[in-house]
Amino acid sequence: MDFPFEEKLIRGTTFLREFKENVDSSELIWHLDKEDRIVVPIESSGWKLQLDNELPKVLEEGKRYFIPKMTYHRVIKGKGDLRIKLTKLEN
Amino acid sequence: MKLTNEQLKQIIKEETQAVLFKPGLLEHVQTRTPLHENIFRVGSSCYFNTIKQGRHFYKMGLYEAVNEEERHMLENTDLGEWAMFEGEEVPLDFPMYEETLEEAKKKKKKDPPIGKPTKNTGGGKKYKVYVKNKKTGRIKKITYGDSKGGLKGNWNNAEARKNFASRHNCADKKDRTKAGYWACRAHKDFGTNVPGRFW
Repeated sequence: MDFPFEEKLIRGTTFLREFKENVDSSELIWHLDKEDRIVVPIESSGWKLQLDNELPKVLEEGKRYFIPKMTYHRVIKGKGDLRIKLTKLEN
Repeated sequence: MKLTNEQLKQIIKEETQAVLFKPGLLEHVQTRTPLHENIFRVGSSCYFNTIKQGRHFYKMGLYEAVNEEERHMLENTDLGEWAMFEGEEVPLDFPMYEETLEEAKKKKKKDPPIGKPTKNTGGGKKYKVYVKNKKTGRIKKITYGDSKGGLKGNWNNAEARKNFASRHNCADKKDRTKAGYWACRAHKDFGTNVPGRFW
């Protein structure tokens, strides 16, 4: 399966994930993951994170965002590339 | 500075919206996003609630439709409303996949419900939708789409789309209580990146 991002393992269960500026918005679909996740944006301009039944939140660089397991969520495209540090928490 | 009546009306309207509208609907107003392009996940509780609330305020003249498609949805459909059908609460005018007998069996094997009687699903069609007959007030279940291919076929192929629309007289399918209406619009509900209407 093709994903709309590139990912590099930093250590353990922490990854550096990069969404390119030219990614097609339609590829950024609602989905859920089987483990809790913590996201820390490293580079983000206007990109948003939206959890199910919540309004989209602007991803601010350096801030921590928690995505509970099995909760639908999606990323909404902003300007430039989006680079995040993503940690998959053990169940 | 003197305000005109129109400007005053607009200010009062915006203030009223800010007080009465839930944040989701307010976001739609502020971003001028039509409710059929809902900011919430299709099928989520906020998705249905926002549409229901939008229609409520549309009827009161407090919410304005952004385009013709949204106006049609607010005036002619029951999307956002729920009703009882055979003892089950179902969303109206909301197309869904119809679980085939095979899929139901597979699911059953994987995750058998314990001590809970379940209904036999199936029926051979791929999609289903519950609609309310405006005249009788009755809820009707409509199934459509060949379970083996059929509708899904070539939504992304312009020529195939045109042929489909002409073969099925899509331009004349305006009755929401008929399978043909939904079959002609299935690409909007289940397709990926399929542009507008076929006809």
